[in-house]
Amino acid sequence: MHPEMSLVFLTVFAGVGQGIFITLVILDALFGTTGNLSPQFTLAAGIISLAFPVLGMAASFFHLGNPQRGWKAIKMWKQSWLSREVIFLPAFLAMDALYLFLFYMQADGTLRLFAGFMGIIAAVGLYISSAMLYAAIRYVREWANAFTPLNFTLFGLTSGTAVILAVCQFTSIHPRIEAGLVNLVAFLASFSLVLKALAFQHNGNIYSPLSLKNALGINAPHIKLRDTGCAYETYNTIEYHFPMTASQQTLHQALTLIVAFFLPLLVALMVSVNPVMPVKTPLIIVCALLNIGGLIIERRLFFTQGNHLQNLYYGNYRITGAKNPLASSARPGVPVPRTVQQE
Amino acid sequence: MTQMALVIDLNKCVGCHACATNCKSWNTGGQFGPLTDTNPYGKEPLGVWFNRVQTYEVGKFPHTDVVYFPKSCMHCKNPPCVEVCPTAASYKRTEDGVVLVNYDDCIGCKYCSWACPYGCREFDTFDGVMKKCTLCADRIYNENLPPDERKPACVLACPAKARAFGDIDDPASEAARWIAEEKGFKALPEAGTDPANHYLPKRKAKVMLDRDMLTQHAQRPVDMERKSASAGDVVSEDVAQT
Repeated sequence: MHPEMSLVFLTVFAGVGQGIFITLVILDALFGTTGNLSPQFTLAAGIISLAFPVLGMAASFFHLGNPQRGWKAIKMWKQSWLSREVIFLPAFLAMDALYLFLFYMQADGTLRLFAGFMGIIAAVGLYISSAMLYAAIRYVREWANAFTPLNFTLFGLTSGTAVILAVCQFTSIHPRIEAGLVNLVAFLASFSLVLKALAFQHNGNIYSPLSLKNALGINAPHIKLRDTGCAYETYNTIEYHFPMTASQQTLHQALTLIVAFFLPLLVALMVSVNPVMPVKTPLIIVCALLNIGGLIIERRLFFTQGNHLQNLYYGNYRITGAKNPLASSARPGVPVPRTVQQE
Repeated sequence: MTQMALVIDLNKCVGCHACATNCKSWNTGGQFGPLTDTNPYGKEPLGVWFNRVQTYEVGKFPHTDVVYFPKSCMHCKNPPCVEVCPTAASYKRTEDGVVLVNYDDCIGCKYCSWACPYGCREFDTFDGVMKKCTLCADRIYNENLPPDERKPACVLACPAKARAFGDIDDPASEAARWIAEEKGFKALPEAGTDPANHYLPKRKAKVMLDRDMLTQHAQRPVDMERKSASAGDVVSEDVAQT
């Protein structure tokens, strides 16, 4: 699938914001009354947790052809995951803002935590609905699997915790809570690393028994596309397909695993071993930035790896899987449209 | 249930793209137009088309056959594009089973096009809405047109008469008869969308002429010449051989 950067930023930034908010509310519920969290910390983390999803939402408007009537998308919440996402995103933002407002006004703690827990429900709903939106497309096998919702949630939590840890460096928080957060980042990053590696392996082994035979309903052993019927490209060859060679894909996969998860894990482990190291603050900021930057690569790759069934008609269907009997007859690399080859 | 659909005979289709061009011509000026083109006369033309024809080579040289495969919206009985639309802009009309997009409600999120296994929806970047084959909903009931022209533009344009239009759930309709008589099939049934459009398979060509028309025609020139040859007239050599 063609990677739409607006959607990449929406899912990554909203995920970061949700992760920050969930971690913040849990910290608040555990340690809020003990005086171990400074008000500056809660306020700063709260504002950042609001800023990221707002950025993501702003990016999402660039995806829409008619953003001025985007609100109509709440209508079909009973059946469309996109509709549910459109409901959960503002709901999360509202609860986040309410939580922050109640904290700023120094309102009753129970009320604030109630708003916080409602926000957590909206955040989890948003993780699930924005991932299920992709996982529900059963003609993109790379998306329609359990890894999609798991990854969206886990990666959001990882990046959120990494940002919270960076906020800790500028505001006062009890050192033991900070040490706990460092360990949490290390745990989440290692978990993410394993899960994403498994997802890549799963994508590489997807075996689709469908071929042009099924697409055209013609039972013959050799069918080849000879002409796409257009002089240049079409929506079908642009939207559903992104030319990427096998080596480019491997490079992006390695970059994702190293930048998004391995380097942050390394930083977290270093800080965990030696909490008073001299360059701790810049290291932790770099850790959060690397994680978010890596997630942008990851999400873009998530789109480009999507191999839509309609690509069969245009000769762009990527045949993967070592066991796939069709793999031997596949053209090397990713085929480019014939018209481009001729030029 | 009425389910209007197209039946396309792959055996008759000659791949001339007349259906695609007439579709574009009608729909860019019809109620559902315009279908925006960017750079139409330049080097890299892009545009919205409801109907496209792909050409495939079947078999290995020299035993090959060419299949022209015209593909437009299948008007599925179980349309996944309608299921995912967040605004209900995509809908399946109950009275005739046509899948349509309400341009006034479409927000242009492209989600429906991802959900379509056939790739039969095209996004109009200029209007910011998703567009697709309407089965010429503005023609088939149009009382301003003569009754025999109340058919989709592609059906009217086809010079090989490879397209039939009608209610496939009504056994008496031309479309349903084509499917029944020539073993019509659905493209990509594995997608589970139950497409309404059907294709007729490639098959041995039948000569649709009466034998008597060939042999007993009183005015057949060959026969006339043969008669005159047997009568002793001078005829050219090749005619005599027949």
